[in-house]
Amino acid sequence: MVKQNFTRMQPRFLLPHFLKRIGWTFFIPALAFGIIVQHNEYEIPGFALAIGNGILVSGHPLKNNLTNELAVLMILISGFFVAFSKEKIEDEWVSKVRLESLQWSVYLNYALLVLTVLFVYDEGFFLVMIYNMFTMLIFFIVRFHYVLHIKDRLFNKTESA
Amino acid sequence: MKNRIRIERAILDITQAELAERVNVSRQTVNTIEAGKYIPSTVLALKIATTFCKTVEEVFSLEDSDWK
Repeated sequence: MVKQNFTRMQPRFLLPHFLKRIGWTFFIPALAFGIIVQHNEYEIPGFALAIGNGILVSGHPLKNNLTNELAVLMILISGFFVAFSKEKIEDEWVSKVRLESLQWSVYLNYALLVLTVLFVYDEGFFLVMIYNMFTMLIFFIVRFHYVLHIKDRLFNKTESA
Repeated sequence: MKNRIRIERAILDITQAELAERVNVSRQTVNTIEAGKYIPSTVLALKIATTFCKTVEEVFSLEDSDWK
């Protein structure tokens, strides 16, 4: 038996592994928070920024509540941590699954967008566009983790010595 | 591409997880390679063969379908 000290190739453009756990901790609550903000039009009282002669409104001051901004940023940042932190062992097959999942999520996202362009109008379409900010990330996360962790457990029970 | 990883593992009496640890990849990666679902890079193929004290050709071999 030859025992050698093999080293892995270092993948570029990925975050450190420990951010994955932090990402998961915030991602699910952030999604729930986002849905509540969107559907119940919930706003954290007083969590607002006074915009003077803002870009949108000139003349009188506009007060913009930052609750929805917070929800969007929480989902995007925590989702990004979940999606693009390194796996515990980030090897070549994991990179392949990552790339495939990215392609898969882009295809699915745009396929759904084409359908909604055709069949959803007005306020409904606006709602779709809001969700569309997150769907590509969510599709990626679901597909990537399914192939990496769940599919393996479901279909490969024949691990042998 | 065919491989003899399962047989070579049996000779050394090591699990997929142990082989994975020796060549520094995840267990799932060894699993997909062994099942013929994933073709490893040349570097990884060499590492696996070296672990078994074999040449790459002794562990991995071409099939007719690889030529199509």
